[in-house]
Amino acid sequence: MAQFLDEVEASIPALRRYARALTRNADHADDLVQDCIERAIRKQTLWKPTGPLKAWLFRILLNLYRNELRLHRRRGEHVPVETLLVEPSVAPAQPGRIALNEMSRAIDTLNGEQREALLLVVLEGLSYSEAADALEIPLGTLMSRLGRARAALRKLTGSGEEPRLRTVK
Amino acid sequence: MTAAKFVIDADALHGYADGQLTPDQRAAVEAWLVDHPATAAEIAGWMRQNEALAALFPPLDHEPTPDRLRPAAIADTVRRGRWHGLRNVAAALVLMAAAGSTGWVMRGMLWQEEPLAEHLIDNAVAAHAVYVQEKTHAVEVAANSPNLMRWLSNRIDSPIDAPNLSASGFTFLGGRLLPGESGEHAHGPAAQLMYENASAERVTLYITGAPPDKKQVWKYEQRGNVDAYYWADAAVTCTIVTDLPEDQVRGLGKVIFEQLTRKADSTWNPAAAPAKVG
Repeated sequence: MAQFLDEVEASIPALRRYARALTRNADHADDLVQDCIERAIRKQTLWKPTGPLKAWLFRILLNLYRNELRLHRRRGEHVPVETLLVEPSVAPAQPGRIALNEMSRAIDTLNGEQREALLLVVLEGLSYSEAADALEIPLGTLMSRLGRARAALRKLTGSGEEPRLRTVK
Repeated sequence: MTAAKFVIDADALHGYADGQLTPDQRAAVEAWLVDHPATAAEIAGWMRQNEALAALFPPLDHEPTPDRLRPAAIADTVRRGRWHGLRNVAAALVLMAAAGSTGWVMRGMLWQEEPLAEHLIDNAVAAHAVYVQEKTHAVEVAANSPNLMRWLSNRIDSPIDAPNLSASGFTFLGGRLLPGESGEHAHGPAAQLMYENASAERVTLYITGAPPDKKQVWKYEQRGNVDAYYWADAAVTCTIVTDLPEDQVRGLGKVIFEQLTRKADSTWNPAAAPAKVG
């Protein structure tokens, strides 16, 4: 039990970061993480010690987040307009860099599945198979979501200098 | 992965941008990109996206964890909530010991293996997962269809009524028929009934006709993110599946048990919940 709790604790910064990126609201993110930890403790017998604990925790967090989205949609409420944690007061994009405010808007327009996948891989550095496990999708689906997310972001952030790129593949 | 099997495709390029390749693979991709400048520019774009995302959502490794997120504190709260249940298990053990049960009998009482029950619970949880997320086709036949319960009763070969859970805030949405199975865990067709409350939380009941041995069995189990409350008697087996908190599930269980088969003489047995001493 103590070791389990230590391992959960070690994952907290990563869970909070991902939850903030998904919700754009620090308090809301911590609410989700708190629910996630409580659920993990209640269900710890279901975690197989052979699998990575972190991926399992992300899976619980994602389920809670998706349930919440579903409830909000059904009630016809709006998820609060994003409260940006870091006001991106970055000077007009330097060549070769993407302005953060531009990226912030772009990530909002991605569909939910692509956003969940891209942020999990990029922010948390989970291996592709761990990320697929956390998202409960096959590896191939994860890769195609990553591809589509990146293509969409490229269009949205119109990252300047290379106007005519051929798509990969 | 061996170097020979490594193919430079879209997946490999993502792996390169995300730093997920081995040094050999990286070198192979880098060499390939020299000859494919357009793709190289695209990959550079992906890496700039990664940088921008990392800057937008910086790591929280050095931010102190708020007290409310400390696992030890949360575990304490969870334990306190469970104390009630543990005390009852302890009381039941004392009672059985006092009744002179041998160790072997106690083992039988406490750890009875019920393969059919486990199998039906698995089915119920799987069916719950599939249909509970449906918005427009959550049920096959809507609650207001006049012949719904007669049809389902006929198909599962046991008369059932849809329990009225409105006192607990749940509305009956309707039901569907699910296939039976032959083989080791043979059972007849199952009726799935679905309920929903105002916050869109859903509960499903997975009901089959009585098991061949018509034996009474009670189980309360957690499977994945949901809880399952199962019983079997001489009329039906019923598995309640939901992700509501346990005390609420147990409360619903009693109401459902009393109404499902309209049997006034049924004895409510709350599975592993409070065992009355004395």
